[in-house]
Amino acid sequence: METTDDDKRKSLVIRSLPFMPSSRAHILASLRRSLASARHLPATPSTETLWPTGSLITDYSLLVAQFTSELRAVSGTFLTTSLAQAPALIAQLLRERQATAALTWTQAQLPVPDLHEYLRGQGVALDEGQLPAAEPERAERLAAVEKIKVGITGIDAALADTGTLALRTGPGRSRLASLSVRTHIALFTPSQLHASWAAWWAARPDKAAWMQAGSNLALISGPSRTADIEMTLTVGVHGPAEVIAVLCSS
Amino acid sequence: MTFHSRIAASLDNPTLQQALDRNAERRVAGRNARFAEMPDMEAVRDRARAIRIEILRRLDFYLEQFAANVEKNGGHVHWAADTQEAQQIILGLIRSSIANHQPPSANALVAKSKSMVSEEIELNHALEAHGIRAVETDLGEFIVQLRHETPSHIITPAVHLRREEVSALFQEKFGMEPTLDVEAMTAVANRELRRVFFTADVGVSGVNFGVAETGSLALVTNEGNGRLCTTVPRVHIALMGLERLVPTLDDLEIMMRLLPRSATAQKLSTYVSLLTGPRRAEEADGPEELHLILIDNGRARTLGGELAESLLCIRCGACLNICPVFREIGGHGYGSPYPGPIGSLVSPALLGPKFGELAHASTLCGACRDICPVRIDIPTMLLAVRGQQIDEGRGPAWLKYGIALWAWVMAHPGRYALAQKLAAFATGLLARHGRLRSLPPPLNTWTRRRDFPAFARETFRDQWKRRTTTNGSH
Repeated sequence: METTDDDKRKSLVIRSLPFMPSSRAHILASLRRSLASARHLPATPSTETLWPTGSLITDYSLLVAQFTSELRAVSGTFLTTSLAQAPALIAQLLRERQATAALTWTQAQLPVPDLHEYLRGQGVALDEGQLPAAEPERAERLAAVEKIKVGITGIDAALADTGTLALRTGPGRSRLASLSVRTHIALFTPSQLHASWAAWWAARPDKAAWMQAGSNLALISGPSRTADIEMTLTVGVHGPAEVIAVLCSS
Repeated sequence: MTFHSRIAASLDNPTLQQALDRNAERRVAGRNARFAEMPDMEAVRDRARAIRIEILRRLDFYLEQFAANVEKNGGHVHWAADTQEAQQIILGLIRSSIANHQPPSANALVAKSKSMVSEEIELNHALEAHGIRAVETDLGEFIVQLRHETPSHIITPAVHLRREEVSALFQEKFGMEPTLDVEAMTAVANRELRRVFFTADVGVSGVNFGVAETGSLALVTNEGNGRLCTTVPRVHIALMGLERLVPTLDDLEIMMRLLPRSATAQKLSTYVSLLTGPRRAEEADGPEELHLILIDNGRARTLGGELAESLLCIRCGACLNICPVFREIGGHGYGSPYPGPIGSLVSPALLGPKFGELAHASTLCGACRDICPVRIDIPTMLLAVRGQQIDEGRGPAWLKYGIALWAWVMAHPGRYALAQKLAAFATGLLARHGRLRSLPPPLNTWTRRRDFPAFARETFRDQWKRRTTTNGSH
């Protein structure tokens, strides 16, 4: 007798379930046995090695200069403006790319006040990228979001010594706005600039709890790149081809 | 194909030889430049080694902490003792993810981001056998998969191919206009793969590091395919060897100073993602389900044996780039998903003793130990694998008897002196201009490619005796 696809599916699910608790116990027991007799494992270094410091730059103008040169070194673009002039600048960036729509974080998540209102006034259709949880609605909505060419986001930190933008998800913060678009525009303010990843985390003692409050933290250093064909560097393979970091001073 | 015929095939492939040289030179020079510009890099390496040793020494504790945190974040944790169980769990998850399809569709589509451990458990074969289409989305892996090959390097999977070969492949598969422009070829792959990302039922990825204190999965890529695979499909399945942990977020930051610099000579990879559970209810997007598969497959056993230190590895590939043997025979020469110096340890440890012969593909020069970001003592463990090979009777017979004979000769000064005299006499008879053109088997493996110098007619001992008697004293 032939088994139907449904039978096969069921049998696979059922067969995989009883493994779980026993494999867990079995693997942990095996680990403990090995650890009890681990003669070849190197000893934990006896003296605590010094915690390496990384970048020690604290001067703000030096940090901006370093962030700029590192971001450019990874093919990113750096612009500065004021909070008041930022909306006009972003509208111009959209016009230059002939973009009439943008995938964006919600207004509350952006550092530039009234940006959404201004862009809508300029005829830009804004999509906040909210996906339904259930299929097929999710897939249908995704197909629409996928077509948008420009993304607008805020950030949580900019790291000077690697030219990196750090973005954590949360309510109103679309992941795809920094991922499925061709051009990613990231807006930030001077207080978000840190010397390095280590310096940022030193300034965030609550980082473990903060991390667990969102599903995703992305550290982004420039546009997407590959060198898989003959080690020839190509920019914009799957992720954005353009990353524009806009520093907005008050 | 035997190990020796694979090596011969690599040596006889001029394209491969050129690609391997270029890869080795650029990667090693780039890595060295990146290390030189950091003043405290040696301290970073010490720290990173200490972090990894701490994990291994209390792996049971950290694993339980990590798994508990993944679950607290809303993820599901599955424990797989071996390849077969890992395949079963993944198949089950993919089946149930399409069971909810409205309308039901026959075949599942899986978007895969580069994962060494998925090669280790031969996941693509298993999925294919069950009618599930799994597409590699890293450009190099995508090319290699289309050619029905395996990756030739853990960081740059298509390093053995020229642009002409990639162009021919894309023309055949996607009707691309003939071109040798890499950007144009990349655009074609991009178009094909974008469809995969946005229609896949499931995303499968590896994990570079798991963070025990938060249950976060760190994923490092340059192309963005890793982010897309773990963001767009409704279900994300992450595969992880159970030793790939760090205790804290601070420790992760230390490891990330080393991994990109060692692997691709970057200060930081373009994308470092920290995945902490599935999409939260109030978030805009992200996967609805996150499943983590913790894979043992021999790791727990290895921890108690002579190759325990190989589990410190962070899979940067630096030891491949620096190795004079890898540079000649390439990844395919090893016939294992884990090639190069570290692969010659990991392969026999995890995939079985038949890979023990890989440990002979080394000059024991120690360059791998020097370049390893966590200072793994690879040469010493290669010797251990060779020793196990002989002890377990898997070496060639002549080697076993040869070593026994050598030990017998060396154990007695008289035998040693006699052996010296015999060797000098015999090679003296056969040599021309002090060199032997060929030797009988098994010694002919030496003379096949080079001459063997004759032993000196006067042994060192005779010389010593003569000098001390003519000079009166020494």
